[in-house]
Amino acid sequence: MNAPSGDVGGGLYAAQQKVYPREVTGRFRTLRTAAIFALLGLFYLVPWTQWSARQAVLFDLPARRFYIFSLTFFPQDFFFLTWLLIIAALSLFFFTAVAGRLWCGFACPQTVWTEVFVWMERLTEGNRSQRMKLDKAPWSPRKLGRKSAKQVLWVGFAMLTGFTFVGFFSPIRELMTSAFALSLGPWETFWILFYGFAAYGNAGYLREQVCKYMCPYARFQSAMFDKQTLIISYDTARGEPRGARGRDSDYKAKGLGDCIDCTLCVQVCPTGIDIRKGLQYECIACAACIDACNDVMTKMSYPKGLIRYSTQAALEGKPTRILRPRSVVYGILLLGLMVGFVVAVAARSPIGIEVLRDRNALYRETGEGWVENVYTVRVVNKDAGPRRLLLTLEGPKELSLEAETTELQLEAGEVKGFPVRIRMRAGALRGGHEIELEAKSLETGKKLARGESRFIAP
Amino acid sequence: MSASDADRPPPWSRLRQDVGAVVWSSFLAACLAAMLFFAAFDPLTLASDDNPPWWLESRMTGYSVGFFFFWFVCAVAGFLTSALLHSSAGAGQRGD
Repeated sequence: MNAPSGDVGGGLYAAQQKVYPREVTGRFRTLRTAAIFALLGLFYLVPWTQWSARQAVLFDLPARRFYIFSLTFFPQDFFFLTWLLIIAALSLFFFTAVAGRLWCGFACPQTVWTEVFVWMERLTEGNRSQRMKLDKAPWSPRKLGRKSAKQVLWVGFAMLTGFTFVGFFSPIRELMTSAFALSLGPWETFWILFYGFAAYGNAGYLREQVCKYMCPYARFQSAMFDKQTLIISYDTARGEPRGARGRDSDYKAKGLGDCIDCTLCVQVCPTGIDIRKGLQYECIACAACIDACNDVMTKMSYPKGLIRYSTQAALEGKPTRILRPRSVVYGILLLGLMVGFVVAVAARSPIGIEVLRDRNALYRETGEGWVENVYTVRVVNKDAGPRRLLLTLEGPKELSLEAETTELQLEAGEVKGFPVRIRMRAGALRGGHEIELEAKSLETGKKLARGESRFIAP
Repeated sequence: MSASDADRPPPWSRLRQDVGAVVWSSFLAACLAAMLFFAAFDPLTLASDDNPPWWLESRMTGYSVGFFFFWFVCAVAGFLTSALLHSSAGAGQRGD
């Protein structure tokens, strides 16, 4: 496994040494597996969920509208998406401050997909030492068979991942029909391959190197840490000096600590670090070393927790406080934004209206003594049910609204665009005037939305 | 199998680190740029006449071409930044 020394500055294609994470069992392994099933389960199943005869969650980019269960969002609602992104960022701050790199170890797509790819590698190439032996061995039919089996699994899973990803943006049932009929559109094919390849490369080959060299969060997260943040740490005071010993030997008499230097904590680490050297930015807090060490401690009949979730304050013998200015401020901000978001979505006007002036002419004089402005009106029904609307003009009383009809019927999610004219008797007004078109509910008379524009007279 | 420092993968070369960091961070920036830009502008209304260039003929093409355009521009900025920082004019005087 030794690298030729001094070859650290090699070129772009210098062979990267591989980390062979050893398999591990234990409480945190079980939790991680549960997280993987939950998150990947959501990813692969949500596009197949139906909601009143359409895909429940669909970011329909070609039609420029997002469906999320009963809600429909239009580009005008972009504000909500930004809000959601701010909530996501603040959640990351909050959880990092309180629980450290919980995101990295349990929820980051990079970790989650890497776990699945490593699992497939284990299935085809065996456990850690078998994999290391296989990689060192010369090519043989057996090696070829195992490596090919792994590639088949990897490529298949990567393609399924790319397909599912595109299925969030293009109705997945139709996508599957066209995939089987080999009639996918060029961009659909491209993005399936692109995302599939990204999953294959990142989870199959780059793995922990993404976290170490490419992830911005890994570099910034320490700014959100304080002495009360949950970290994975090795109890140096208890463990050192480390050393091998017989199971029943009186190691304390020999001056040894609890660490038997079995190096299992290093072997299970997906990023290949030694947690005993202290907190390192490569640590993604997956807790595999905790499981491995607890196992060893149990076998040695020592107390568990030589490597454990702890805080810097606790390691220094000070009390750990979850409530502290940082966590409280992040928490209150986060809660406020989330409540605000729900209220704003609930109070969102179900109707949207846009009034666009005709770009070609400022005004038009008709033969019969009228001056007209022409507009295109777009009315959107964002509601889950049909709506009947009445369109009225608000503005100087000299103006009147001329349209084919001012009564509209819009189905759920429907967008209607149509021309309207606003006119006045020639000479009644001069210059520009603010006008508004209002949409009222035909049933209740309630004002639902209004669109502003200008009327221009000679 | 021992687990000494020698077992740990050697660090990436400078070039590889630069490429990795620039490609990934410009990808994230391009995602953000494409999202903000196309929320405000519909690719189909960007063409100024009835004879649009091929990349504005459909929305999917518009989004995709736009995304790669943003990625490219952000990557150019990233590579220039890393090149300028690594070939700093004052490096000798600062002692690095």
